[in-house]
Amino acid sequence: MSNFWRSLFGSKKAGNNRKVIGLPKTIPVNELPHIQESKRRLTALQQLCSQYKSTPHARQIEQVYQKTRRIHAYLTDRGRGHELELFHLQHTDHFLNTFTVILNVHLQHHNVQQEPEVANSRKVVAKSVKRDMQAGLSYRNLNRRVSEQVLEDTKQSVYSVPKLSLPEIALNTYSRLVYLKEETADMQLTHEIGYTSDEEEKEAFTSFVSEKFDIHDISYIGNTIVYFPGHAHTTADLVPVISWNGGLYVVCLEEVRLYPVSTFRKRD
Amino acid sequence: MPDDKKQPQPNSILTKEQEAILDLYVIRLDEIFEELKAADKIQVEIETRHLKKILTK
Repeated sequence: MSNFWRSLFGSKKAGNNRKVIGLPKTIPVNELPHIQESKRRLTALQQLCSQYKSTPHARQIEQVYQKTRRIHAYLTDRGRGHELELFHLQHTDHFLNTFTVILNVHLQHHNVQQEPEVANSRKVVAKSVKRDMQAGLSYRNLNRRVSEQVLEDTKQSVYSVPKLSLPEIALNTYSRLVYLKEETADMQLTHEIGYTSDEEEKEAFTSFVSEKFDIHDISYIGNTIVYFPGHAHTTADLVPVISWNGGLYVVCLEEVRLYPVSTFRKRD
Repeated sequence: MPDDKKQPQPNSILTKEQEAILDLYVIRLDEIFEELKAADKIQVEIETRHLKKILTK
């Protein structure tokens, strides 16, 4: 009966929209798919862990899993499914893709090598390595003799031998820089590049650099802030960093020069 | 996995570059977590100031 009166005076609605802080959270229905997708990714990461188990990288992949799970827990606890989805789309998916492909390619090569003579595979590998090493060794011996000679010469001169070192850079992950690209003879377009750029933008940038520097198989890593040697102005420049041939390089677009650098790496 | 049992696998699957990327990724995950916490701290700060403003009006 009271329900009837309530419905009559419209008071039944009271309380429908109230949110009491401190009650156990119920996840909004529209965020449920995000949470499920996220859990699926976590499972995939875990699988990746077990696939990398017998490699030297197991510990790090495990770290990636743990840290991803920590972010997952943080965001789900606060009911922020959208942010979680965004995080996974921008990070986890790419990571999963890359490291699954790496592993698959590696396994394929491995299998091809092993098929012809499974029993002897170890010997074959050992032999080819040995041959390579012998060839490498003679070269290295020759080079060493030459450098010993050169060192002896320099010792007698007044110059001191410079010690080379790679400056350590820190990647800037949030700002983008603009570069000019000539589309046609007299038309230039500005493009943006940054750590958060999408694949297409990064592709455009690497092909631009490839062409300009005439180097290939490079990939874009991020931006960083550096002082260039010999520049008149003393302000630091935000510049792109690329990876080429297993090393990192800062790109100076104005001078078309590359500077080798290294990123800060924890060693333990 | 087909060939796990035979080899002790001292061979590294990843290239130097890929290793560096893996390192970067682990660092990045830490950064993201820190950023999340920092953003929440700022949120708390804003709410506190807001309430303070109302009370001291």
